Amino acid sequence: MDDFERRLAEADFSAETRIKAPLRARLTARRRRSHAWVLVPAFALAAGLLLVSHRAPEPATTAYPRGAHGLPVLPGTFPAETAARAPRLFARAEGKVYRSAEGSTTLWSVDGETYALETRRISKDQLFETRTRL
Amino acid sequence: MTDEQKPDFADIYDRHFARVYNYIRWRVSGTAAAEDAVSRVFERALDAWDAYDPARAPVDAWLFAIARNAVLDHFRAAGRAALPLEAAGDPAGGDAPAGEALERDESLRQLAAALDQLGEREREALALRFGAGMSHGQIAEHLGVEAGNAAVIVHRATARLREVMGKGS
Repeated sequence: MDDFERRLAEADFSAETRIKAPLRARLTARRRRSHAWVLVPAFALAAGLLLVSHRAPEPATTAYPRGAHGLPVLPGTFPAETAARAPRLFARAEGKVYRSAEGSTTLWSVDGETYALETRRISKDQLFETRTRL
Repeated sequence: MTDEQKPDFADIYDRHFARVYNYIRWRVSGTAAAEDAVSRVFERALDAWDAYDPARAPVDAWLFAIARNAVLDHFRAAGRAALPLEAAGDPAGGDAPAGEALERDESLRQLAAALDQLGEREREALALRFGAGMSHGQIAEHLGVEAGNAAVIVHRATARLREVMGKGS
């Protein structure tokens, strides 16, 4: 690089301008504004999510315990076939407690539930008496 | 480089303002036109700053690519023939400098007037070499030529400028 080229390299036109500081201030303000606008939707989204989460209903829960195949066990029901299968049921159920009462009533327990099975034949008069008592 | 490692835009501005201004001033006639172009460069750079990936290109190469496009836009908008000669410019602003500053400003005025007599290609090569302070390799990348060709282009443009300034002095 000769002397002429060195002088060219040292030529600094930037001293002739006075826009450096005002342009810097303008760009800084513009960057601040653009960042603020980026934050606005972010805040709005966060606020919206917060609102929705507070108003969302509780998810429905199953009121019934689940039985076999996921079907609910309805309280107070007893499978119709149980009477016919009662002897086998007694034989298989663990912890069963059963006894034959005097006459024709049998009481037993399966899995902690106690059931009464009326096998006694009754007359119409006896039935009438029972309904009257009820 | 992660966002945490990415420098602040204000630092980039402070570090590169003079080089960008000089590059543009070597290419564009008149202080006002150069100031407009420089403003556009940094505004565009700011708009693109979040998307800029330092791993893909050094910041000065990225910035000078924007500057080059801003100069082309300036020429398209103004029309090269309609641009004023530097004699009509105001390189020193309103204040009257004295002594060394006056001599320096007079040199800059002569240089600017000489640049106005060069062709666009010559002026661009000189702007990259002396305005932006680039190496021949970097100039080659900007001009899309081999490094050896870039050196030849710069050498010829320098010789032409020397000739023009010799005539003027």
